[in-house]
Amino acid sequence: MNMPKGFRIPTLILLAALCSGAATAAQADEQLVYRPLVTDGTEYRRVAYPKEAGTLLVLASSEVVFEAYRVPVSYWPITREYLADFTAGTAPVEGTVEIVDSAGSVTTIEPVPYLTWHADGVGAGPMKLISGEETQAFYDDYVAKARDAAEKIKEYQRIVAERQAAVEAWLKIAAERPPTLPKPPPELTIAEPEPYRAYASEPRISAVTALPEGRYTVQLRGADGDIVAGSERVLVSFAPRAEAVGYVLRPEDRWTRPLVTFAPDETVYTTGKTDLFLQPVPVAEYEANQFTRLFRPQSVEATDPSLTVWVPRPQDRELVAGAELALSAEGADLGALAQTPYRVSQLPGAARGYEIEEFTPLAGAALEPDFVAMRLTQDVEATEVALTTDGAPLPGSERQIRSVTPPSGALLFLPALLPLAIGVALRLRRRGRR
Amino acid sequence: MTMTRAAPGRLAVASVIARREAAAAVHGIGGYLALTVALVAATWILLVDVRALTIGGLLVLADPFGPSLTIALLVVALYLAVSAAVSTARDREIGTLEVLFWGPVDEISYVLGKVGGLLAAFIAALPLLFAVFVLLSLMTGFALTSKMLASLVLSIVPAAVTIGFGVLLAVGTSRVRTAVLLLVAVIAVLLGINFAYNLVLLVPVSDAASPVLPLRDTLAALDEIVRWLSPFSYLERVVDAVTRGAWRSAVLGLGAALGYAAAVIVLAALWLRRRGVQRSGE
Repeated sequence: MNMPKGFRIPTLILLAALCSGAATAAQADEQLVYRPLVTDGTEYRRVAYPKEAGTLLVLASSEVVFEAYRVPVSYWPITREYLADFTAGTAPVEGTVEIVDSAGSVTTIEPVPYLTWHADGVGAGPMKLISGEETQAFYDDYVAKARDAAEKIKEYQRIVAERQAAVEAWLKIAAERPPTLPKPPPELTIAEPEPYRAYASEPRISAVTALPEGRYTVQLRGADGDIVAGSERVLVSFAPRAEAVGYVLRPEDRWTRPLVTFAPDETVYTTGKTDLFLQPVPVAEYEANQFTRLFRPQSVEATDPSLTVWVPRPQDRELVAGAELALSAEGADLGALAQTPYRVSQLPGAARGYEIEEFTPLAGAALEPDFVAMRLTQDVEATEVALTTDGAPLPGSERQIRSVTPPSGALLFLPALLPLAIGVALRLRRRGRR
Repeated sequence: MTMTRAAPGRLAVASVIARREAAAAVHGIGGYLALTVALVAATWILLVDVRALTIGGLLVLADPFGPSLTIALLVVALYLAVSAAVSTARDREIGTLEVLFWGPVDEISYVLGKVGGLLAAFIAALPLLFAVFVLLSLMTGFALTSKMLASLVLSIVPAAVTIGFGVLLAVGTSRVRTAVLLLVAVIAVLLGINFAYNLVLLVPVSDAASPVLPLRDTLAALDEIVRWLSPFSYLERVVDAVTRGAWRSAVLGLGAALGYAAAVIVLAALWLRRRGVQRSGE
């Protein structure tokens, strides 16, 4: 068939589009899908790895739970992902998980009990994986503490309700204006029990292991002694490329809108019109290509392999506990600031402002500081800061601080006219010579 | 007695053409105007951060001039591509090309001379660009980094790609107008595919049978091809990698740009040989 020249390329594109559209109609096929419970250093998530998802990724030296399921997998064109269907509640494939390292030595991962532990509550603070023999005892202790806390709260609520009833009864009597009014019920002197925020999942049994950095093969050996078909998959355990200390920066006049500086080569620019609160955070630098695929292995984003990402590591916060912020300007020591708890209190009145003040804990009170930071007041002319412990700076904690006063927008365009001015001057000079 | 002189070498011929080309670029007002436009665009981008700092009182930046520098270099590279196309097409239109080829000029020395001359003009513009960024740094207080200087220096290789691309598109055309229109059309297609892909990504899709999906996937494939075809993407890639300190990517980008520059120069020379040096209609 003869086709006008101009129509060939659009037709090819259309054909490609139709072929692509035909791929959307792919049927679900059953396959062995690994579904490890992996962490990014902050939380644990189960990540499905159909064979199309490629290499399994885990953080080096972090505990990982390996499970594999035989489930239907289908292509979902909207997100361009192969999705495994776990809704039928299929049990994990029976077998022993084996890890083969690059030298070819095989390590068998025996199933052990494990649970996920949210020490600060679900969605607050880092998650941990508790595994091994102590798991059941840990869970029993958690249940006992949670029940005890619930009992205490129940008892407290009972006392509060009783007192409330007594107050209401007294108010009724008082309303009748009797000649002799009994004394009102006494004030409550007991403090409200602290809410128990921690949460532990119920213990389960699976293969749990922590792998050093490297490239491995993960496989499943069945009860018959053979490798389960389709279970051999490449696994990469990756470690941070660098570790440093980052800061969460809270300006006093916008404390709810903090900025962060995680990469050590960043500079902090300030107009010097407000105090700054610096909260130190341990951070690590990972290869972006690997880190972003930890929880989304089928992400279509084409990440540059040399791109890195700095991420906070709240589980390492002990590293910065008690450290001080050393201040200097052009090499001159300006002293150090200690980490101090702060609380934000609303100011009464129409202004609806707030004040950030040092937090002093009261005995028995459940009140906690809003944040712990080092306050860099606007009158301190520090140009460099670093976090120090025993006078020695922590690696990667140094930051430059520049107090600047940028000019108005229109003035900034003036330097851009320099080439035109030079061009015109050169032209006039040449014309003058002629 | 008859005196004979050896014909000058190909590189010597190319350098003569390059000097003529560079002198034309330096003496014309167009280059200075393009630099000004590039720097206005760079300042406009810089203003985003300046305003954010003025409003918020606080800003964290690793390389404040990175995005501005990329924009400035892209505008200059675009100007160079147009200049290369105009200059090459004009040589044919007014008969200069034919005259040159009566002498010791051949296709490769002509194309090398064209690219070399405009590249020399680009190199001459770099100190001026840097001086303006120094002024902007002094005015804003934003720090100039060594990566910025490295970006400027390493942008020379991808700049050669854009100039070569301009020559390649113009070498077969007979008129300046045709060359410029062709270049504008090609750039529009290259940018249009990227723009269309990003636009389609914004369309919310909830149905797996949506006709947007095959369109999106096709545009994604075309966008990937454009990444390797567009000369501007090489410039962006190298400058972006240097700004991020991703030296491996920068070296790979430079290698790819060098290969692409060599390819467009050879292709332009081959096309010129095939097309001939005569004016249209002769």
